[in-house]
Amino acid sequence: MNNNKYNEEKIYDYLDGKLTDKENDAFELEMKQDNKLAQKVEELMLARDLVNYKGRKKLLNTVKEATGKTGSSTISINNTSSRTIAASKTPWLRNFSIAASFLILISATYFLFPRDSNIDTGQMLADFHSTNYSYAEDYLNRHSTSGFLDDNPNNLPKGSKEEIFLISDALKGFKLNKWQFTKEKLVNYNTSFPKGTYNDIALYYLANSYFNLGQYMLAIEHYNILLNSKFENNQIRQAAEYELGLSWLSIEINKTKEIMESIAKNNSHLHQEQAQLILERI
Amino acid sequence: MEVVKYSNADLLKGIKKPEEKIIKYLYDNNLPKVIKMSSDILGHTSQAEDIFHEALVTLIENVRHNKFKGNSQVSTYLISIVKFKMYNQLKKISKHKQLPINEEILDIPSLISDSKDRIRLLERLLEKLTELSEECQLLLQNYYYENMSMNEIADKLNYSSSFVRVKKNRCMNKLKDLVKGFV
Repeated sequence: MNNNKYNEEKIYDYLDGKLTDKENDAFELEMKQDNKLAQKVEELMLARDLVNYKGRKKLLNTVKEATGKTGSSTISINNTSSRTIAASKTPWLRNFSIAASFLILISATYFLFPRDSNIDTGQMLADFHSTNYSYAEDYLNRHSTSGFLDDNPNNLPKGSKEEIFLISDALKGFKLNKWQFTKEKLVNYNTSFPKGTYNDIALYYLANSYFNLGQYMLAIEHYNILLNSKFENNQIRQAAEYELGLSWLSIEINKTKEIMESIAKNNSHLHQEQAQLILERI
Repeated sequence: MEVVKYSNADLLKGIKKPEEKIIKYLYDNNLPKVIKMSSDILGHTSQAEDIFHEALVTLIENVRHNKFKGNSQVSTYLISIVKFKMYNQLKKISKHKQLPINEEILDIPSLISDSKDRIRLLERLLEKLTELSEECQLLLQNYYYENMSMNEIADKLNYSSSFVRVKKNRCMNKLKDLVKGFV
């Protein structure tokens, strides 16, 4: 068959989905019998996909700019009238871009919120934050008499071996103050075991690692998720609440005040005294 | 700070363009919910923002292509897109997970199977687009990606709609020749 019988308009109407069902079927049948025509249509489809791909990439950047984020574009074009294309950034790049986005946010909030120039937040953090490792062991000891950090696989608590080794590695890293290592392990744990046995403890230590890395917005985000969850361990909840207050210190001090006031009023709160001291300082 | 509220009609109008203040408004108002969803569905939040950005792009596309006409609240629809994308993400990791929402409701067809190959190819071909004139690039983007009618493009470029149609086909043929050999 010769594709000359099809005028260009017909090919474009097919491409744009403007043919009736009957015309469409006839055209597709013709393509099956005419390689040259099929080739031409394929090339036009690729050209159209390219236009859509560029358009989506540009739009994604517009959206990022509008939301105050910048960075490289991740594209996944949905199959609307056109084809569907998906891509993913490598995980480290994605994490980096998110971290970068939050850094921008932190920088922005630094200037947006009123700050008291007499307050040395760095000193406050040094005075009132001490990394506590005991919760992990207390919590995990309840899962096994041998303790969570036992290297002998036969003595390990519940959960799959892979799951336990991963979280165990992360917590060992935490004990050695390897915040970046711990963060990566815990993100890996939550991604690999979204319904794992230790997501709650992983979330707390992930927030804590962000805090120790000075990534306060990410710490705030994770502490908030933990506090809004059904996680029942009161000791860790109270620690998370207190550390949430500390995380706001260098970003929006009024939030710190609000949280510390609430803690200071609570006679059964483990950090009541520290909260009262902080309130005296701010 | 003044709290601004927009009607559904205002939002749709702003999304179509898209207006920066409307996108920012949708982003700010839904981000906490998206982060919480990411934690609940994916078990982590490291991709929450990327997914949310893509969902906003899908929202704009669906409004432009009349796939969403405002029959439900914009935020409800946006959150459904986010949820759809998160479950899709989850499906990639866990093959047995069923998508608990109806894809047809959202009108977001599945990703094609060769998506990674296709995107690599398109990335490679991006520079070919720059060999077209600026006007050709704009016209094709207006027509295909932004779903503008011939008349709208004609008004914008100050041509007759019949000329725009001819020019569009010429531009496409030129681009077709540029990508020839990559099919």
